[in-house]
Amino acid sequence: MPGIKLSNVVKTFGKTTALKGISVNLKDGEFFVLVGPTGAGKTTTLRVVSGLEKIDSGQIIIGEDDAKDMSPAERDVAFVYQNFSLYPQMTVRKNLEFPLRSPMHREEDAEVIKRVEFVADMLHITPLLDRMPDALSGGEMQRVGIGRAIVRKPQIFLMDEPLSDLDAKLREELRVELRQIQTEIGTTTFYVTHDQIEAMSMGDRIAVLNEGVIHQIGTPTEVYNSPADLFVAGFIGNPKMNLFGCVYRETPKPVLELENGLIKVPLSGEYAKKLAVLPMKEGLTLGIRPESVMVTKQKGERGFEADVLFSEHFGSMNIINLQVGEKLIKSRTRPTEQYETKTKVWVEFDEERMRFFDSRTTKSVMS
Amino acid sequence: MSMIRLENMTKRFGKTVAVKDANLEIEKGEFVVFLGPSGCGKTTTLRCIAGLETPEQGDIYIEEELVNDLPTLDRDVGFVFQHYALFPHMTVYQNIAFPLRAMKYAKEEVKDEVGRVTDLLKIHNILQMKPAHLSGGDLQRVALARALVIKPKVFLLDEPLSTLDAEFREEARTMIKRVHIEIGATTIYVTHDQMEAMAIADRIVTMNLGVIQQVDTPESIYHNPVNMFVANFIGSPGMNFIDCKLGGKNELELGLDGKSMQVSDSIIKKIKTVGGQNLVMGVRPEDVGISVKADPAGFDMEVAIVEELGPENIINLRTGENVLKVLAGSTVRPKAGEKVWAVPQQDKIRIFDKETKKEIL
Amino acid sequence: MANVIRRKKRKGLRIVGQVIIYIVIVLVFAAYVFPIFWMGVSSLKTKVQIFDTNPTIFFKPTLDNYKIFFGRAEGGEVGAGRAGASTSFIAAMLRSILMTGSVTVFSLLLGTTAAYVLSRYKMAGKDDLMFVILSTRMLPPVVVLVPISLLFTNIGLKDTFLGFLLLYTMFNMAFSVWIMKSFFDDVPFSFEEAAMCDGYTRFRAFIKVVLPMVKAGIAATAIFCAILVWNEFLFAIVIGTRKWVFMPPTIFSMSYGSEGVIWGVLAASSLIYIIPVIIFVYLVRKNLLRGITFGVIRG
Repeated sequence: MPGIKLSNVVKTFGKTTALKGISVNLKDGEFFVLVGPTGAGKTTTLRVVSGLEKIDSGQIIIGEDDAKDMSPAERDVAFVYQNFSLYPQMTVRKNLEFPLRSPMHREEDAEVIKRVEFVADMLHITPLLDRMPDALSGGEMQRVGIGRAIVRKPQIFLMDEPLSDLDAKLREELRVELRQIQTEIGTTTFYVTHDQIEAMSMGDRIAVLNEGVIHQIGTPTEVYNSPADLFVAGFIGNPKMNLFGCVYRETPKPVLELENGLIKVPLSGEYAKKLAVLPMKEGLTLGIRPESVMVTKQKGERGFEADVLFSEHFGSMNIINLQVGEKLIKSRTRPTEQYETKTKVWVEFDEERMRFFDSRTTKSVMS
Repeated sequence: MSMIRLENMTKRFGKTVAVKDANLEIEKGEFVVFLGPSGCGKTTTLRCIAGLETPEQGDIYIEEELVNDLPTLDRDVGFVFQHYALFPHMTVYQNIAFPLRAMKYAKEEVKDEVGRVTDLLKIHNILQMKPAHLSGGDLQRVALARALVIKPKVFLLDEPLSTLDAEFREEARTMIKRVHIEIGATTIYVTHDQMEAMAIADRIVTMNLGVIQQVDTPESIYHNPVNMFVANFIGSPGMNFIDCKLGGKNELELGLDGKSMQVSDSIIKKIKTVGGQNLVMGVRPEDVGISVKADPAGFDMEVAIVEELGPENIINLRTGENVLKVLAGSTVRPKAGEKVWAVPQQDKIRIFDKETKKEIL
Repeated sequence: MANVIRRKKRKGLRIVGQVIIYIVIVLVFAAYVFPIFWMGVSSLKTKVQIFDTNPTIFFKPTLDNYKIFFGRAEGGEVGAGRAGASTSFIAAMLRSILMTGSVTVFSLLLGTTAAYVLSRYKMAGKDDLMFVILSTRMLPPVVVLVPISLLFTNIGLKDTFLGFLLLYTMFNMAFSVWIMKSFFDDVPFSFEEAAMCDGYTRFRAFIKVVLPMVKAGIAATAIFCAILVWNEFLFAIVIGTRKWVFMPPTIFSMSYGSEGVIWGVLAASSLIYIIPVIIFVYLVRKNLLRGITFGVIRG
């Protein structure tokens, strides 16, 4: 199974530059997720990898070969779409057989039938084989779509938001199944989505894309815990990371002044020592994720007071929306903690989880 | 007096029964969410209330008035469609003004009412633009504005967030809730996303295959689901189920290749009252602990996949065809293929009847 | 906020409105069906019966008109034939069937492939090209009757199969291309792309994947093309002078005798003439159902 290497790929459509020099390196057998908002260039990236679009400059290497002049069929990629392309005039079985009957894959009939049944079994769609596409549910259609891609045993899977149109529950189930199937088959997979939970759940590594530029590549945990810039910090993680304009005052006692002094966060001595590496003390943005914002009813040493705006209860956790002045802060707590609206609470930040960014360049200055 | 009441309402499409015998009461000012998978009948029910569909049987009351034969425009409802249904050839202002003009409001009145919703939804800067040039979030605000401009008694929203990117849904959801609080209109919101429902609903109406399953506050539905469907549908991930039956003393025999686990007396007592056979054990992913050491109050399974979501991890355990999901902190990271012990919290274990799918209390 | 009085008034109006709609539907239907009914009845009447000022429901039917149709004329009642002597109804009918079939097939081939290209490929001036194609139908055909007639005579296409084939196909292009393009536009390109990724050439993807999905468009286009040729009278009579005499001119000439119009023959021949079209549309009707792609393409 080959890897995929994109070096400085640029793609323009008329006056718009969709991809502004993308470089990624997919390892052999990896499940790589490209995540970003709609319009970031994710679909375009997949299409240039598949060969359905030609690039303006840069290099695409599949395995050992420079793929620049290879047609989609020659690149041996299988595309799984969001709005699925099941041929409506054929049964599920014929849909699954179709790729195997193309001019490039002259397979024996017996072999074709065997392959189709194997794939149907893997995807739990065997009872659907003789149905027509319009008799399938969304989830079933998507499974057949994935089956069509698998049945050919291509070198590479390209998946364009295949789960976006499905119910939330189905998405939860299918993303695990899909990932398991890929692990079993071992095919290099380039998966694209706007849903950061999918990216976190499924990717061996993820790349965050925005407006044709990649902001960060890393394992989900790396990207989550050490976002490279404010865009990544805000895009990955739900609810979003809390961000504050920040100034670090060392004397008389180390304290972070947030939002022009609206909030003061005293720091412990050990942590203040760590902050010595900060290249600047002003013009910072402090980022702290909701699960690292602790809320208690009792006043503590190193926090500040806030009002409870409202709580959202999700069963396995609660999101408390807090307010200090005009600033909204979200905290993620255990379900057992209840806080009444319009009460005052004490808020503390987990120092180890604080992240600092340069407000002007948006880049991370300390992780 | 209830705001909306459905009595034995049934709606068919050809041979398919989309909504079966629905009975429901919604109070004035409530924010109710119809929740369920695609095809469960939630949108159909909404459309019947709006008058866009006519039920074959049953009655619909709005403010205790029978509205079965009343066309949509006389029911005083504001409807927000899933794909907005904004008129592409009109500006935002004209789109919002449209329902008022259709009702022959005077020009001054139109201006006032449009101004009111523009302030509410903060869309002053896009009033002169056409839908084709607007972002998803903006389109949604315009659709909301148009539904609200007639000051409807009832505000109906059909999966309003489904067309938005995941990152904008939270913001949009908060906006809808804020609008609801400010104008106090009775609202019915349809979605398949249980997180959305949990976040904003006063009460949730869960539906499956055309039948209303449970109507309750989010907390009650989460902590006291009446049947397996609701228990699994609510919660991210939903409740786990494993077939079980009474084993030896204080033991529950599980349908996992013959494994068994110790359970408390109260559970045994519960099981004995119904005969101890054909049961299903249910436990939520966050109520299962993982241990590397054998534990009699648990059972061993193989780690299939670990999903690292950031603030927490979902550990997918497997034995044969059975999958168990465990919600754990981000530091819990067993390796795929490893054998671990799943230990459910005793007081969080529920027992369901395998046939009726209802909980045994 | 809605007005209760408005509601009640509207309900009353609605019932009245519905009744009016039903009456209108019945009237329109009658208006369309009556001429055919008249033709059928008249075809079984003698001239005297047709002109009877007190028509009765029950009359003695005669098959004379049909006998004339099938070639057994009985003196005096057959038209002098404005368009040459070598015409009989059956022969003309066969020529019409041949021409219509050929033109329909040819128009479909040309129009569908052109529409596919126009739908899928980017080109400068595409909108202009579409407009030009449409514009061929903006003039009443009679305007170009003389120029084409002269042109054909000069090139030697007058009264030839090829001449008519080209002429009628050209008439059909506008409709074929516009209708088929809109059907192709409705098929997302991802269908062909998926097939191409699988190893199919563009052409095979077109044949195996896309064409089956636009069956409705092909059916509609085929019907329209067929009817246009089948009914075409003006060019048929001017350009089809001797050999290629089609049915419409034939009906015309054979129904015109020394005593004026022979209504009975006209009725009988017209009635028989519409039968093939009815059969054709009946056979194709299932394919006219749209929706073959709906339900599979979501979102």
